[in-house]
Amino acid sequence: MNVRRHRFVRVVAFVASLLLCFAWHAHADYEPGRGLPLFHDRLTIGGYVAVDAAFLDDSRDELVVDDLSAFLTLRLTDHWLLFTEAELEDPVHIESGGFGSGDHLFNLERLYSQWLAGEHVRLRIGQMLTPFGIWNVIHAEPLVWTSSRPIATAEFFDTSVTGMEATLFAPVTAFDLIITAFGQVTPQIDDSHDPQKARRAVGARAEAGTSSGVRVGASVVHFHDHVDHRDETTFGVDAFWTARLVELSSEIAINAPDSGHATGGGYAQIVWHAGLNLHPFVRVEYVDLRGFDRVPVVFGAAWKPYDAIVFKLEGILGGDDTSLGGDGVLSSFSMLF
Amino acid sequence: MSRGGRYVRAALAGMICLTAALLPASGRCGQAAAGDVAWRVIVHPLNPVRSIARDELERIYRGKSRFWRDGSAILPLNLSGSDPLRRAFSAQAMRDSEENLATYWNREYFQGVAPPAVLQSSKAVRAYVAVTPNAIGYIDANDVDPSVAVVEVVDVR
Repeated sequence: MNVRRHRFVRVVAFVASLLLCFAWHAHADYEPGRGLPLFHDRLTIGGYVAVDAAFLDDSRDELVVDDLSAFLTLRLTDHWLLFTEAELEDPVHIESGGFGSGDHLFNLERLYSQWLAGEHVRLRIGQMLTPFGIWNVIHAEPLVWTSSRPIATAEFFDTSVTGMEATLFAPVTAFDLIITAFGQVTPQIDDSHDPQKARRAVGARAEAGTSSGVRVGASVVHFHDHVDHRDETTFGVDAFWTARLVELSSEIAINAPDSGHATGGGYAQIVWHAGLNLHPFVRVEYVDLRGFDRVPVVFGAAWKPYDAIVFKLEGILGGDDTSLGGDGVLSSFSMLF
Repeated sequence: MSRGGRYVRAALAGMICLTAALLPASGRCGQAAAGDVAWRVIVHPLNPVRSIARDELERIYRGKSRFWRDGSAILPLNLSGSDPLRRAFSAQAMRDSEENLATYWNREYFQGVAPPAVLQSSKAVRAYVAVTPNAIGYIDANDVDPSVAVVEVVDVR
């Protein structure tokens, strides 16, 4: 424990001194929530922090520094960049039994090389977020309206993929068509925190959207589940609509193994941009998990006093025995750097 | 903590939510009067572009169009979020509010996509564009001078 804590302190001290060093050389272009641009924007250092307070039936009451995440974007050329997101997960938590830190402090969330082959094609190689649905690729706390994550956006497929991803961007008169294909042939780069079920996977996503805020998408991933030793396919559809006062979003995911019962779930969420930077929301979920189903309802409000800062307060009903952690109340503070 | 206590807290959160829902939407910030400020899109004089479709301009400022026809990277320039000129540009050229655009860029930034660089004044944008062949910016119509070329914005719809 002491060894881990000393290592944690050394990592934090190293990162802090590195940031101070970079900040010393930075030109005055820093905009909160957009990262620190360095070396004529060739390198951007950013990240986010999320602090959660949870009072849920299925777990102890706790105050947690849930994520302390750093993004590094290195633009080697106009076409080629390297991107990584590393995070300290649960570095500090305070609960009724005392305080401590999580079992897996350091987590390499993403590490990939990206190549823009002209205007319409993007290639990525490395460990990426699985391009499945809406939530998975924007799951960071400052980017979403609720502290809790819909169950269906993480339960039925691996949230990251290690391999290759090719995306085609095709503007079609009134909307943009985005088609992505991806494949995995190796274990993930860092599997210490959230091990993937898949060693081999192949998938695709198609999305059509307008800049005025309407998007619909469909996703599919087929993988070999090395835990349950079977092949599985997960299908998903999603829709998103935003206007000046309202944002609606919905996702459905269905997992169909080659043996056994299919499972699935989904959610529908409405957010009202009510004024005073306040965004009340209601989310209704449905999830069918091998043998039982649940219909959790999440309701509350997010307050964004600044674009990069979000405070959230939400109540959860019907979340017993799910990854939501049971019924109760969640609140959080999160900030993009 | 008792289960009842948690429900009370959940109900409290619901009441806060309901109270917020009943507040008038007029408090939503950022809806600056779009017609108050006249802006012009500018490029370097050596850049041959002299007119651009509004849709294409929007694509550039959303990071979807990234390269000029000669293959060089487009470098879009923005003003700070509180600048009335930026609010007018966002409303008229982007047809979106600053708040929605901020949400959009928060999510793009998470994917490693850099938003347009921000300069602090219309004159700073003009000075930058005047010496940067692949840059594009917008400035106060009164700040236009021969160091930059004005691009006509055409709404093709």
